[in-house]
Amino acid sequence: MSILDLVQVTKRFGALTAVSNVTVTVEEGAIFGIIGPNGAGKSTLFNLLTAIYRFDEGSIAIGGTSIAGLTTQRIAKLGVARTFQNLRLFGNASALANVMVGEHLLLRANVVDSLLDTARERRERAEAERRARELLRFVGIAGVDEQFARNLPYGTQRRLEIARALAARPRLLLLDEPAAGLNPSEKRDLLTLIRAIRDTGATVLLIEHDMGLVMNLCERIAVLDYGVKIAEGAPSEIREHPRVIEAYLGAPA
Amino acid sequence: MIYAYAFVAIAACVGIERFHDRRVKIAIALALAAFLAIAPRFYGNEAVFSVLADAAVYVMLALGLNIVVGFAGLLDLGYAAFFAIGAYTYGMLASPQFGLHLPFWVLLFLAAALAALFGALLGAPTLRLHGDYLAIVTLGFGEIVPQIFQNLTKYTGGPNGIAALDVPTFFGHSFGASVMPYYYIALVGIVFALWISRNLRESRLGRAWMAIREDELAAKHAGIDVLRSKLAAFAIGASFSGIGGVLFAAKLALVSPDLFGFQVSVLIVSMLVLGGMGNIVGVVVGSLLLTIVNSALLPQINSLVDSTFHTTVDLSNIHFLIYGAILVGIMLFRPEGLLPNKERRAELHHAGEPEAEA
Repeated sequence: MSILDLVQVTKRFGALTAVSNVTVTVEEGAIFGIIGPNGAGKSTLFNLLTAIYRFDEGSIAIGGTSIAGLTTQRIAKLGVARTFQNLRLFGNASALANVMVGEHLLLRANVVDSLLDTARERRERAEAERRARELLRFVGIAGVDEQFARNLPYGTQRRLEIARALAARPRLLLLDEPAAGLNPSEKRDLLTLIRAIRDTGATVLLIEHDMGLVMNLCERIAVLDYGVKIAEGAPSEIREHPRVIEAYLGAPA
Repeated sequence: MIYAYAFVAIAACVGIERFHDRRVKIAIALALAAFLAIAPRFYGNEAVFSVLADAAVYVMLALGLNIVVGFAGLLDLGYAAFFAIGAYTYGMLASPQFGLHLPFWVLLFLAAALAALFGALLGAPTLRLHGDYLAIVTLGFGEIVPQIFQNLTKYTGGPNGIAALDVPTFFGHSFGASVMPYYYIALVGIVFALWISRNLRESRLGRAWMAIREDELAAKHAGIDVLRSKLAAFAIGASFSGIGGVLFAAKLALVSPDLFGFQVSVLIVSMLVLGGMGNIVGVVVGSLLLTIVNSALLPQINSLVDSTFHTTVDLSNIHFLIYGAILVGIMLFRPEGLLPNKERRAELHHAGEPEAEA
């Protein structure tokens, strides 16, 4: 079963075609990588998936539901969560509160519950807090619960953002350069973490520049160059693919 | 005497803020409530309690605006409009104006609902705007509402407003000319507003507001309905001000458009800035301080100046100068306000000073 189907998706910014006729299918439970040189359209693709941008042509379906015309919020309801290339944490809030916001869609308390602090509100809050602490432990940053997100070290912030995304219990998790700025040991931990996330049943789609990480982690990889998908396959196939080598190293003289 | 009351209240607030033990906080709050409730038995000067009742109404207004500005991060410079809507609800429905004499208690709730409705109506078209743009639109709304009341002469009495409003009754007992009932009602109103504020801050909706304030795009990705959450902030914040408006109008027995101008919106924003935006206790302190300066200190200085120099100066004209001085002073020396919450302190001290490690 596929969780994500992109069919001939095109996005233009004026005269620039950022994503051109891209078709990608991601199977449920996969760890799928998208790579490509800077400016290849990888982040634009993510932004199409969460409706930050609207695609001009083609179709995108998540779990069989077309996302054409849906808002970012509706797409989140379909079970999509993401992290950002340049972290977007709620800086002046505790790590715990950051993760609890991620749980927003799991909670049912309405405005009246919130106003009057009803039994449902209190019960849900206690539950949400417990789950949030669990998630912080799961991503390996237990103990920072009460600290402000902005005061945390960079690597911890990256993990916190993943915890916030996981809090929504997504079916599809989008990670935009999760290893950027991490040191080698942190990268190894990240690898373990992403595998553990997949083992909980989520599908992971990630953009990454670190080839070692991508080749190690992903079961399938798509390569973009100038908005066009130039290759797709298992890591071993991608490594040998002439067009990929050309895109990264330049055409042979 | 008024200063003694204000001092006790502010000292208690600082105590609540500084002590970390929950039981101590509750004890201080209960002691303060008891003091404020019993004090009139021992000292019955109506003039003092008139000022305190006004102060209490302003505390309610500030708590309402705090939900919009402090919690949800939406700068609303036209908040006095909802105060006006509350006051005119009472003015038009409990006066000889239309011969309608609805009960005060019913109108408290009706005004809250109407103000909330107008809050949502204003919010709907403007909430896609951000920051300065939102502030300008709300500023416009704050100007338009009193203008409408001024120009709908047939219904609102125009520039003269509506006078001889009904004196409220409580189970058949008229409030009469005493200000004490208003003082007590406003105190109960504050307790209620504090309770609601605290609930909201800790709630699912409160966390959604935090997320919107901090990073709207990330909030959307968490599945938060940004527009609905913002509308809720505007409506709930406005409803506090609607209740405040009814109390204010009933106590004064008069409404007129010039009572709800831009200066009132600025005054309430100043209270938030002074006290510490987002922090419930800080907001209470800020609004108490400014009301006391406004209603007690300035008139006293005024009469002192007049009697010393045999002049007739009107210091009330320098209100704006004083707010301005306070705002500039706060921005320079303590941008997070007198009693900030830890979020704002972190935000405003992040650039220069490193945070103490926990």
